[in-house]
Amino acid sequence: MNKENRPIPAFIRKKCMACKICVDDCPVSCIGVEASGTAKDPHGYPFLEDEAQCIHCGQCAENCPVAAIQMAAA
Amino acid sequence: MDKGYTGKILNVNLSTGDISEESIPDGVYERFLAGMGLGAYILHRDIPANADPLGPENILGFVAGILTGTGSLFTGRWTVVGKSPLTGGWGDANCGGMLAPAIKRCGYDGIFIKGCSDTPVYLEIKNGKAAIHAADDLWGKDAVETEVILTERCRKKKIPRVACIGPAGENRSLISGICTDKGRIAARSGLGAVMGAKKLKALVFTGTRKITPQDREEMHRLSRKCNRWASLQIPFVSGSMMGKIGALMRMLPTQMAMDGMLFKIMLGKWGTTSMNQMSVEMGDSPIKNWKGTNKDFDANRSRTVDPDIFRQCEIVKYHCYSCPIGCGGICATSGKFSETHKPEYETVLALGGLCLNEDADSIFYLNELLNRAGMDSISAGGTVAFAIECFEKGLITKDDTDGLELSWGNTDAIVALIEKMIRRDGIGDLLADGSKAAARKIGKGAQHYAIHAGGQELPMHDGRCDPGYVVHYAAEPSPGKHTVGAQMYYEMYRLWKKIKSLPKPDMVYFKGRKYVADEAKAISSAACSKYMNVLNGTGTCIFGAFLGADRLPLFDWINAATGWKKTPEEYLAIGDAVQTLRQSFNIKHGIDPRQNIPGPRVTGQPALSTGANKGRSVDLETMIRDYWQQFGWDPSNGHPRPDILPLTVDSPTDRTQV
Repeated sequence: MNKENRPIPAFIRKKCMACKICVDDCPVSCIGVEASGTAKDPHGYPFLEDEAQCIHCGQCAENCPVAAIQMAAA
Repeated sequence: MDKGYTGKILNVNLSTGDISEESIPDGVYERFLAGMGLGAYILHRDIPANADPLGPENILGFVAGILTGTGSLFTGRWTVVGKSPLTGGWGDANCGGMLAPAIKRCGYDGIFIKGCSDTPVYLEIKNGKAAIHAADDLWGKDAVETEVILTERCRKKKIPRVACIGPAGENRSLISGICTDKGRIAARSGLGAVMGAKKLKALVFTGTRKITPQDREEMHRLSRKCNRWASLQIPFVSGSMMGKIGALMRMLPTQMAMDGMLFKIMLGKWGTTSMNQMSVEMGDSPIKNWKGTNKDFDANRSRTVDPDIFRQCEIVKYHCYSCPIGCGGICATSGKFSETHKPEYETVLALGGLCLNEDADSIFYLNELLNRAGMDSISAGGTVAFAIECFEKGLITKDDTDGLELSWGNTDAIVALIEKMIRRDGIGDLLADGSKAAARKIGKGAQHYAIHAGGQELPMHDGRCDPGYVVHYAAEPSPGKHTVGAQMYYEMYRLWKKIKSLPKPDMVYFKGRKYVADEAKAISSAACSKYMNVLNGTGTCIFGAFLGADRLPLFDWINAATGWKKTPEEYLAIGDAVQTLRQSFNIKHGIDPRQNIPGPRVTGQPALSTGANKGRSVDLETMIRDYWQQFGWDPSNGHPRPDILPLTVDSPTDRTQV
């Protein structure tokens, strides 16, 4: 797939509640969870772990219950 | 589908290899919801009376809730249902992790498995298809090893989700459960043994279908509103202060109605371990096989389970699917295992205070060992405490224990004993089926020291501190579980905010009031059970429910997901119907509900002479009668009236081979 100019998920940390809905929604499992937190913010937040695998389908953004994912140009 | 549910289940017969898809009429969902309610409907319909729980006629169901995957929050719990080999009656256990949406993504609300395979197998399910594969190479491996292998083997693009048993389930230990996500476990009711008896090592879900609610915009609106409460996290006291707060609560003659927001903040900071020392100090946690008190496990001895110790080991917080709180965690450990899921409160106290074990390292180790083996840590701890007391009383000796000195707080002996239970080695074989079965074999009055309800070891919440717990331990269709109701739970559920006919508890009350059996308490207990059936039908976590019904829009979510227009009262009536269905299952299978009433030690007869629960006893007999009456059951024996409701739905179901 020509990946040029295709939107990829951008994660808005301030809104994200780390619920992992997007991790499950992703049909190609390209969203991972951070393997460690910080003392200040110990949650494992989702991130685009494997951009090459992303099929740009936008399910993660559509299904995020708090609009913490936006599909944006890479 | 566009209703949140798929309207289909998959029936698998491991004896014949038949796999068929069944359409479920909408009426079933409207009457019982999905999740546990759907499971109760199918099992009551299809398991013949007197079926052997470990035989081919028993059915093991893996079900997902009606709200799972719909954009709602806290709705990531899956439930396993079956006839329990531990209690002989209705069995269910639920668990978080990432498995629940994976079931629905395969196109099914539930997978129901009957029959027994001659050789080990695993079941792979994907988008309306299923296949049975040989699992000889997996038999004997622990749950984490099994999950890693199957995830790699079955992965296409999407990561598969796996439910499997460990060696305890393979060995048909009656206190074994079913694992997922490398250490989450649906532990109660002994359903791992049913899976082991079927020679079913694992289920692998690789589906990719979308789960679509009727009104996604409304789902999101409700979720955003709920998240304002769920994400509220204010600075809180240190872990060591929690024990002091517990001590203060013990000393006060009065008690305040609990607001679940406080508990949510504690969960967000520490997880369930926040309760460790606090529970011991206030008398909520049973000590020394329920005969001890907080004085036997005082603040000096319990300092090793200070919640801050668990938090310090946390590498990252762990969120189950769709959970904004993230009470779990992945902890770094030393020794044989490098990491483990953060031990839960129940595990810590069952392996800690109940056996007077002060060694936190052993609790981390046993937590991972039990998770990998697929053995229930509550029942394991309860059974070890029972064995220690039998040893203390001379009912078993070193000759019986393979040389183990089973004394209170002997960490090495406790660890060795649990390792033996997992392997069914020596004394471990005697104890691997829980304390009731072991007491029967030991004889000599050992049953007096087996603390269980209907065969299931009791959790780490003492009914002498909150009598609501023991009512549910004794009188539920699935006995001995702490995740249904209690007087404190009723306060946190705040159901009166949605259902005006329900009693509102006083803001402050004298503790003595908790022990008075009255109608308001019976109504509250029954409301807890009904609400929990709705939560289990939707796949919702009890910790979400603790936010309060006015902050968790459960009923609105169901309406938005399904397109129904039911009122909160109608949803509670569904919970009522599911309760009667489960109790009817028990009656059909020859269970006398009164046999689930735990022994006198649990209700404080005689009352303790010292400690937090000094002088307290519970009039359980009256409370149970009042509770059963709330469902229209015979208060003398817990039997539902035959005319109470039709348990079947008239619409025919369609079955097709897949």
